[in-house]
Amino acid sequence: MNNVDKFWVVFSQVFKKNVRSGSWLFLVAAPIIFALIGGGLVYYISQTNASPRVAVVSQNPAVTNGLKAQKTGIDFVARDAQTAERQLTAEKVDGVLTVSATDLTARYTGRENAKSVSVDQLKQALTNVKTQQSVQQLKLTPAQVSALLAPAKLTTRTVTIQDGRQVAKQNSANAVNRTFAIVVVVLIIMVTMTYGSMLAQEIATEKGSRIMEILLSSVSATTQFFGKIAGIFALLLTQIAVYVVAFAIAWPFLSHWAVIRQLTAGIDWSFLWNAPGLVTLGFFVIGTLSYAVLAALTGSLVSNQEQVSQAVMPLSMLGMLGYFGALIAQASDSMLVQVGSYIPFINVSLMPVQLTMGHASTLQAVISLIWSTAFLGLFTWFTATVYKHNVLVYSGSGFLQSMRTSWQIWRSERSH
Amino acid sequence: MLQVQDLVKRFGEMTAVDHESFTIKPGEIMGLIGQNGAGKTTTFRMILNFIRPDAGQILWNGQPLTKADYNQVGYLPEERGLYPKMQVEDQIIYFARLRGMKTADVKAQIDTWFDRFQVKGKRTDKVKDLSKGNQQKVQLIATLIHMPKLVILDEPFSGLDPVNASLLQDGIQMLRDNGSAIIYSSHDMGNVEAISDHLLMLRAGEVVLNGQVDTIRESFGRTKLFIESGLTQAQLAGFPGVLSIKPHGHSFELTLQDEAAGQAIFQAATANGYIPEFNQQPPTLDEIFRMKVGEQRG
Repeated sequence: MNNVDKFWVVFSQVFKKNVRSGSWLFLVAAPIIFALIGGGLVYYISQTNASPRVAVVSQNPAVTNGLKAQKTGIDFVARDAQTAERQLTAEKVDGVLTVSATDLTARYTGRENAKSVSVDQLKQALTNVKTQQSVQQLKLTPAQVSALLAPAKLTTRTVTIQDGRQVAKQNSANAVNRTFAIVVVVLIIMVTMTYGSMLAQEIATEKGSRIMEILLSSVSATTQFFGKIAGIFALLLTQIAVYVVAFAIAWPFLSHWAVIRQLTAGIDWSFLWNAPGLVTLGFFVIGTLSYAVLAALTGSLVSNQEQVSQAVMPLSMLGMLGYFGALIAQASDSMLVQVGSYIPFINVSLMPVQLTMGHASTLQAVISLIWSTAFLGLFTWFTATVYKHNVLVYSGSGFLQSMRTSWQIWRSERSH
Repeated sequence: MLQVQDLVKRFGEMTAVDHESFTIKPGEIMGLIGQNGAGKTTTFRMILNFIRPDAGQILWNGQPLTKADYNQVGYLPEERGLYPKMQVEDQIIYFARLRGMKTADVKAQIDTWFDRFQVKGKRTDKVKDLSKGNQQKVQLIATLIHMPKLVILDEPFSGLDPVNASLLQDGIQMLRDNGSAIIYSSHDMGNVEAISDHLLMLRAGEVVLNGQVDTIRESFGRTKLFIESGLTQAQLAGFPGVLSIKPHGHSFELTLQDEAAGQAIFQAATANGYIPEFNQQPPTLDEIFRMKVGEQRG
């Protein structure tokens, strides 16, 4: 059996072991479960939250008809004063709206434990009725009505001051971009952290339990290293595939929902396949791999099971740094953020935000991505080289001491 | 054939292995003994290519051992490790596949190996649900199922009860009969004496004993005498060349200055005819071990 075959043995072992593990299944299922619970909740509320019923007491039937004609989400019913009072006491209506026939002044009596009726909504509905009546009384033409009702127009433009001049900013820092940036950052950080710590723990546990020595006497450290990285990457791809399939199955049902249609209508889906979208995807892939390699490095430095959390710590620190950087980047375009957009590990979450917010050009993002890829190559080479020595170094005095010993061994082996 | 030639390994100031040489032929079992820190594990790690020697060389069938030879190696580390949550069968399959075996072949042979080591548990049990002794057997099966040509076992007997230790002895001998070259370390001289063809003792990285077990023992002379006769302790102590006497019930254990001192005692003891016991032996490995360790302290 040659090394390529052993690569696949390690690969499938890492993949199979984790794909069946409770923690991975939970990681995959959690967003689906939350989506289902959230969806179910929204559905339940929309089903059970029938429109509140309000009794309208008015001498003028036009008022009741006017109110009924509007889409307020309130079920207006005409009642005389006595019936209205009785039904309110019997909890058959949620409130009583008494409207004078002449000037449309109104009084609303709401039951405390009833379905909530927004006062603003009532006011708006009454105003509309009043406007209609005035329009009829003044005998206005439709053109006059629409002129009267048309709201004032306001357009906005944001500028930054550069070299004493106003420079218009790309009009991309809108809500959708902002949301997209947040989603991307959270996703990148969540995925890199989870898979990174999964791999760090895997290697740390093997080393702590001395399984590593058996593995190293069967397969070269390099083959093992790449087999593991590939196995973890395959888990990530599987998770993404699960979501794609779940979405494909759910979409026909979801698309019937008015709420979902309203939500999705506002999104310009082209961002998924335009240059910034692809660059972001590139950061996603390079980021996950970079963190996985770092995880292998720190995992291989562990001496016993108790130090596993120390192996994960550098990952969490970098992840947090990237996350807070991304938060700052959403608020402002500082020098710190600009520099950070080119620093490996941090740039995977920073640069996509900078790009989406219009603080960095696609070219800058591509340069950062290429540099990250080159860095990943070098970093992987370095890690693969020290990995072999790391996994055989056991130090009782902790993580940093292991790092030092590993470095010494690496140098002494090189001098041979 | 494994040839270790003039091996030296230093860690900083400390010399872990100092000019170590030995040869193990196919079908030969070598016991490696020595105190903790004598250099046994370091020797194994150099053979396995985990660390490079500072001097000397290791040859497997005349060539340096490379990753191409990994499939012929069976290695049991001193601190045992298995994946606790994995099923026993999957665990064995994984390690065996890493040694180049096919899954179907492993599956076909697992039962035979379970019987051989009398494993109590099902193939589908999780490793962590087995008793410690059975986990150790599973680890042994995972080490040996691919019938390695070079077997390296670091303290394989530690933690095994006498019944299981003898099962392991049978297993090791089976591999020997199959032509494997076997090297193992042990603190238990009883096991070493029972199954080793060849013995190597390390002290602070240096080889202090090297050779066939019987030859080594004989080289110390038959200076142990077990005797049950009409002679009293005082009478025995009166003979020239008797260094010490330990009573064991009716009999006595004498330590002699040299083998020849036994003759006079034999003649005196048998002057009146039959005696139940006269047994003159070389020191046991255990005693030799202590003697050698003591030399260093002295």
